[in-house]
Amino acid sequence: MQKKSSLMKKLKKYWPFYFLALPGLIYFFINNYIPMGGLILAFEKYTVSGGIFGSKKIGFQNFKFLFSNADAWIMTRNTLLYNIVFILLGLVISILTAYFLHELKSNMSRKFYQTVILFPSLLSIIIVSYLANALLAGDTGFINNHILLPLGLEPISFYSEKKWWPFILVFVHFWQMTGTSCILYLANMSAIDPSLYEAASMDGATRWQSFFNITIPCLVPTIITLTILAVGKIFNSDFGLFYQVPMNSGAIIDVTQTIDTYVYRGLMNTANLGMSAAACFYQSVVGFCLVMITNSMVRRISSENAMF
Amino acid sequence: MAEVKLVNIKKVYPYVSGEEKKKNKKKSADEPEKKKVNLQITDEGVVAVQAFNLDIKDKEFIVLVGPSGCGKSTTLRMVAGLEEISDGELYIDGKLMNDVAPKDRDIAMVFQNYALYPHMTVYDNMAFSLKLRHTPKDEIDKKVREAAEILDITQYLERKPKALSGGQRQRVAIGRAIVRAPKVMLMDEPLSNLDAKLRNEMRAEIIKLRQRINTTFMYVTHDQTEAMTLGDRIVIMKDGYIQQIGTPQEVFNHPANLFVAGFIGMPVMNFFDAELKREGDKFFVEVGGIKVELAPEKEARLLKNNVQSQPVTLGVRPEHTDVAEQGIASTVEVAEMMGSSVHLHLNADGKDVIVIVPTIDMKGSYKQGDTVHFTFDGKVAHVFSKETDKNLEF
Amino acid sequence: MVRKDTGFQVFCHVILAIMAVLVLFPLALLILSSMSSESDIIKYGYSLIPKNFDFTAYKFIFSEGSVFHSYLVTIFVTLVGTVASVLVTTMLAYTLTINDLPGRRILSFLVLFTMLFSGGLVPSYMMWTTIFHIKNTIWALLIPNLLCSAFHIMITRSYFQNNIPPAILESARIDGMSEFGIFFKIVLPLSVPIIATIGFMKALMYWNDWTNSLYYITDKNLVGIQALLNNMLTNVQYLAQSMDASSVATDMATVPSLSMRLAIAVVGMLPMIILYPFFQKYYMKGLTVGAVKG
Repeated sequence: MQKKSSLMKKLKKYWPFYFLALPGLIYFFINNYIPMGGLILAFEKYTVSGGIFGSKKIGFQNFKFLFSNADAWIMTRNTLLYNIVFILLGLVISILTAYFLHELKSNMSRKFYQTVILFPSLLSIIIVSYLANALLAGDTGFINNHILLPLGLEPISFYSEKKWWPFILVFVHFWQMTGTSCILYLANMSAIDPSLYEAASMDGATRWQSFFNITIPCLVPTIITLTILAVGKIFNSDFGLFYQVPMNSGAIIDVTQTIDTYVYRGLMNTANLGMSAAACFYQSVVGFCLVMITNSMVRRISSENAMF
Repeated sequence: MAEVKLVNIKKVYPYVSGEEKKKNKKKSADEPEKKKVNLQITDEGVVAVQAFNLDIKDKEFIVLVGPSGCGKSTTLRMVAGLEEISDGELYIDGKLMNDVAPKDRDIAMVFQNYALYPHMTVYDNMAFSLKLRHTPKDEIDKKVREAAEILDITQYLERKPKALSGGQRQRVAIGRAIVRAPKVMLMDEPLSNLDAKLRNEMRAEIIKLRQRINTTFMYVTHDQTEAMTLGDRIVIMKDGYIQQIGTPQEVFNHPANLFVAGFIGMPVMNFFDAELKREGDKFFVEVGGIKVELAPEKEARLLKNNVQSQPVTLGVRPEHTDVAEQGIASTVEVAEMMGSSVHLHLNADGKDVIVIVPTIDMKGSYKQGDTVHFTFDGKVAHVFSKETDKNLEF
Repeated sequence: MVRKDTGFQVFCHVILAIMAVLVLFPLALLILSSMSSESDIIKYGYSLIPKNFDFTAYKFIFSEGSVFHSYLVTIFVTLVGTVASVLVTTMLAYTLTINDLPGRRILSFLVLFTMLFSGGLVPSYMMWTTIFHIKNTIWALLIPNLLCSAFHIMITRSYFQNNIPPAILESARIDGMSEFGIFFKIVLPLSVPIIATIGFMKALMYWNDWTNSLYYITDKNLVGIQALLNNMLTNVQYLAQSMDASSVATDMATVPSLSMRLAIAVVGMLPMIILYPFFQKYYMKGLTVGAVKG
């Protein structure tokens, strides 16, 4: 009896808060939690009449198909390799860029460079594809018409030659993302106590000694956190980068196919729905495991930086 | 304009089931959380306040005072309705208020950090609660201007809080509370954020204010000077328990226990290990080779409590200790000239003692290393039990 | 640091200037080429120095209804989506700051968990199309994956916790304000910086989104500006064909498809370029706060 009345009391006091939370919670339930359950599609032979949750269960057959052909290997390899390059090269590029920005004496020029470098992150990947296309297009592209032609070199048909794409995609990625990733290191660098540098220069440290002995150690927590977070997402890729920038070109699919593009291509081709669902399941579950593993690693190294 | 009655009030913060997330703990380390540090930990949770009984008379000015974490703010917040009362009953004007929402208790509160709405002007800040209660516009205007007049902030009415100094902001916060003419005015360390000079000014201001608006005040502070100067009665708290309730004079002259004796008074009371000797109906304290008979009214109270000879803690205030030809021997360590008096920091057999000597009584000056004898009168000696720390007269 | 390091300053400037040029060059190429005549592009390719300045492409865009229509679709979706998502985000984030709210920890976990695990594209697509029948409705552009993210909830929550003194809320409670009143009249007005931050990030997401359109939209009336560009990227003649279909008597040959799609790209990024200087401060704050907290 008493319990009940205290429950009523609580409801009376707190209902406005639950009410405020409701739209967001409903959204998460629909947008995030139902699809989690929908992963069951990977074990079904989907039929329109059966729907997501009622189609015929066929066990691991979709997975057998998926892993029996080369696609599974290629997309996994591409996803992992690109991400590893993005992570490692990204560390160097963004820390150095941040350092150069930080060391600039003139605030005006720092602001200018920062604004410029950050700018591409505002563009949609579609626009980025246009920019890439303006440079790379076979007939009208800038590189072919204004660099190779005057030099007397053969024009390159970028959209059908595989060997260029690993470089192009990596370049485009950093072109767009360096601004956002370096800004974080810059913020952390600005937070380092300047008297540390003063003390070091009194001790006779050179610029690069200061950089490696003060700046980098102070950034280590951030570096660890960001790297591990990125490792947790190593099974995911930027769909637009790998689908749009190569203009969905079939000839170079071996070096541009990632799990995300495979899932999309499978989805749009209903005959492949089962395999697409299996690939999706593969990505979600392995991705989740990676997040859990990396997080428990962070917690062991420095619990401060763990996500949960 | 109301009586407030707190009966056996208790506050327990129950444990959160499972381990609290580290992140949240860091974030939500606000007031009540910090206090848990030196509180009692029981099976139900962390006890912040217990066995709190207090009858506040109509128009009385009550000050809750104690070190940080003693539960004084929690008690005030329970009266305000901002914290749930775990056990016990709270009556305002005879009505049970435990489950009444803050806005329906007819109280107003002044916060330590002012808690002014930064996006509203001073006028709107003060008018806000009246607007919410659908008071007619001209009446609001009249009340706000009246309050502004009292607090001397009329010229700032159109400004935003950001453009005001700390003292002015606190005036606005007080103004916001008084326009409502609440039954009970609650103040949670309202002067703590001000610098020393402003604090003295505002203290005087609050005394004046109190004469102009007739209402019941509950005032929380950790500053004994505020407590002594403002309170009709003072409630001294420690570790969630009331230590003593009394007028400023009572708690100063008759501290109920060692804690109150040490907490009230500046500089702090001197304590000695002493022997209480009962010889028939007479009581003596023996300390440092001298023997002093206690005053007759003290003897009467000790007699009533049937106190026997025993080792005690003797307490004597610095201002009640006199330098004399004979007495407890000590050497001068520091002599602080304060103007009207000199504070002598003495070392009596390894014990630090402070003696206040009025400048006009001084013969010559004191130097470091001088030998000084001091003594005290039987009227001002307080004897505390070694076992319970209680004043044996109580 | 009193140190003679002019050399290093020059070095920094050189490196950063090279990066700036790398960033700006493709943009300049795009913008200048959009002002070239169609025949020059076909003959000489995209070029930094147009042989003849020619604004036919822009004239075409402004006279042609379907580009304008796409623009309106995107503006509508961005405005409505941003307002709705800022509301939903702040409301939920505020609830998660109420310390003694029963079940608060469970709610926080439910929100956080969505950052760790997701169903992925296939189940989401199947759910939106077969259960909610969102295909070819305006909802498809507003809701899936865009409306509310755990990440924004978390940064908003920590803003509330660190920047809104609890005493102000308590004061309002004593003053007699309802909880809704407190949220809308006290909390929101005091949270302008975080609202600007997530508002700008949301607006950017809505403006730049093309995937929802790719997945769920085939109806020409619901094609936003990014989706239009996407269609034109793979099919240069897309617009010319659709114009024919919409019965404008245009000679297909005179439609400057190549330069026009560049012009649309320019127009498509224009609003964000204009807003950027005003929101840069908040945008950068959002980026740094977010990455630290994960």
